[in-house]
Amino acid sequence: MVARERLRRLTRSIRFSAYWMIAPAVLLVVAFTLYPYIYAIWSSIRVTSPLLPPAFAGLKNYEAVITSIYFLRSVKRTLIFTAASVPITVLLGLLTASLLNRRFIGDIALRALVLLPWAIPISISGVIWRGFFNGGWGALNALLYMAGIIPKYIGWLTTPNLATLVVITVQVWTQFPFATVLILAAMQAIPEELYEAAAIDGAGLLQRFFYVTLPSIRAMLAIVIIFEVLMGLTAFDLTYALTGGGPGTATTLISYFTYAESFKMLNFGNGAALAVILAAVSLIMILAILQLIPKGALIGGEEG
Amino acid sequence: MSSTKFHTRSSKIGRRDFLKLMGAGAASLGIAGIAGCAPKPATPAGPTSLDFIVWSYGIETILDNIKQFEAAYDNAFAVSLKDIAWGEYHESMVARFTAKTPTDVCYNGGDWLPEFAKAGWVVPLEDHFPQALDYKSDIVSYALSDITYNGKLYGLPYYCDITSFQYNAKLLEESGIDGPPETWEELTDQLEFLKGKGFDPPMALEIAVELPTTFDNFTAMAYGRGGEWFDENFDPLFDDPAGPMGQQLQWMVDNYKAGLVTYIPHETDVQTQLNTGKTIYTVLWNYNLAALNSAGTSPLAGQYTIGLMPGATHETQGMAKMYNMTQMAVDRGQEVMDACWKFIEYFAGKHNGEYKVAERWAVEDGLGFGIIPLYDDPDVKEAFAAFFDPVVLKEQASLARSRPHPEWEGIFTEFARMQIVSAAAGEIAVDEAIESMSNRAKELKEQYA
Repeated sequence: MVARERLRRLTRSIRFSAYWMIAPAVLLVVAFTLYPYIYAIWSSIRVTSPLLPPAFAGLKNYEAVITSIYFLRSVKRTLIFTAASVPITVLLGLLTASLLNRRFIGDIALRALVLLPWAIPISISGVIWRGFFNGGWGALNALLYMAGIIPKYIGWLTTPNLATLVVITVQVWTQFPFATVLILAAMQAIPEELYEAAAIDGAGLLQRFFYVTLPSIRAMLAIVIIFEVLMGLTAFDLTYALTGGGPGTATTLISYFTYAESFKMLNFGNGAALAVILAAVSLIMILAILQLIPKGALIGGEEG
Repeated sequence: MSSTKFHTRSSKIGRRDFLKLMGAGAASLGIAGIAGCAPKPATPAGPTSLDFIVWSYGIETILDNIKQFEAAYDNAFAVSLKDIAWGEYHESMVARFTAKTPTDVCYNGGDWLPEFAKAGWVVPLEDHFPQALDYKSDIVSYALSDITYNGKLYGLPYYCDITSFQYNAKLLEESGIDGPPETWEELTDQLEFLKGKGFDPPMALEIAVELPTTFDNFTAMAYGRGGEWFDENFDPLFDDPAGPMGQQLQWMVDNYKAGLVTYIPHETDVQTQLNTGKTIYTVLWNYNLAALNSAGTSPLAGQYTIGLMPGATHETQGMAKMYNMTQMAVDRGQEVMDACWKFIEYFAGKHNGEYKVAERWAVEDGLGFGIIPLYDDPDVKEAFAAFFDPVVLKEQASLARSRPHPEWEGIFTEFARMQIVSAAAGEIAVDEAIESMSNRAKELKEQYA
């Protein structure tokens, strides 16, 4: 009985210590993730403005942003932007990682160089590419014109569809290096024996890629896709620096309006409502992506 | 058993150790807290510190002016400068004031003054320093209107400028056109002609949804037609799509669709576009002419000039940017307020009988000043003659007026800008944009009544 009692105390004591051990981490998560989110939800159902007395608003803020003139258009634009940029980014990252996963002269230098676009702050990238694509004096038009490819300069940033294409291109340029690095890290963790066994079985290059590489990096691909979807849905600084959201509002994405509602129009309630909607859309998309991924892939288990 | 005993003891010790550590930590914090509450040892009197917030323009000049100010007062003041990008200034200041980030003196515009004043973030200068009123007689009317709210003088001008119609006079003459247009319709004819001559696009406008100046540029163009946003009660005057505002918006749509006008998201890019020699006309804040006509920054320097704003009235928008003292400075006490006044007077008023800083901005950067005595300053006259046509500038300045500024104007302009750029690019109909803006103005008036 004494031994059992001691064991019980020991178990309780260990559990008690464990709670203390994880308490700092839990506190940090609560302070920096949970609290802001709950506060955003709270703000989204209230009149929150530095110029107006606070009041309960119910769902009026949600109604205001959903019925606003910009909401549907900017949501559509954001979804197009994300749907176009994410697959290209991931495919390009996969291709580049596959190339860098080989030994060749200068491979280490190339691996460092490929990170360069990602290392440049996005707003700076926007300014650089603005100079490149500028319709009046940009380098691209000059190159194409001198090469005789175009008869006259093209308004890359001043034509709505072209500006959208440019923004997607630059988003891919800024994002694919990080995707490459993550996928490359996953590829380098694949045991060499698997490739040797596949080779002995007569698998060619493509077969090894599809039956060895791809299944082994599923978890990382899932993470990269989710990360890039979130980057697409919340993109803001790139369009701000590259096109100023124009021409018209052709490249103005939903995240700009979250910012504009809160800080430009001083309606933190509307801004919070928009942020909550954006977070919910992100969550739905993440869950949808996770549904498409074979069970266990994220924890490295076998396909269910 | 011994193993269990050992682990049990070990675990108890761990928990006790943990609690001891927590106790020691709490005790340390308590001691630190008590120490914090204890009277601070007397510190030697140092310079009075001031936090000065500006938007990012001419930072080197500002820093040099600060240095000269500090030297002029034997380093009795230490000014800390923080600059914020122009496009984010309004919201950054809102965040700054809301979070009570130290701010003693800041730049402000007439369009944001009512909002900042109503929120209690900036204070009337004349309430604390009645001598500020002595400057009123030296300030041009549209500027005075912009720095006054509810009949009180809130600041002194940093610079005052007009939005002007600018063009490359040399290229225009070479193309065979005698002079700038009188009306917007005549301008369309000229743009078509110029496009035929290879100028593509013949006109560039600084228009972007995320750029505050977009609203200024549109307002100035519509003022040329005699348009106005609000009456004295801040009821909309623009709600007829066939009125001057609607007409100007339609003009932009038609000329954009015809490829005669392009929209560029920043004034520096508009300047570069003009310097390609492919574009003749623009509408910008007048100080841009100084950069366009400076050999150091422009390959086509000397070719640009000002024309009267096209339209029936040729009116344009005039405005003042100002130095404001904040409530936070007031809260810091009389010593800080006195420092603020000395600083504002040095930067915006007279020091040793001269408008030294305003004159410097005018001579070096072509910034308008709105200080009547400076119009007769020989250095200013000489510098301005190199940048602008003084006769047309004077005429255009006399036709400038400031916008009416309701307390909710900052919010309205953000909303209206979205409608203006959407309509101007043909995304929504002009009627729809005008109706949305009108409804929003009415909502805001009711909400903020």
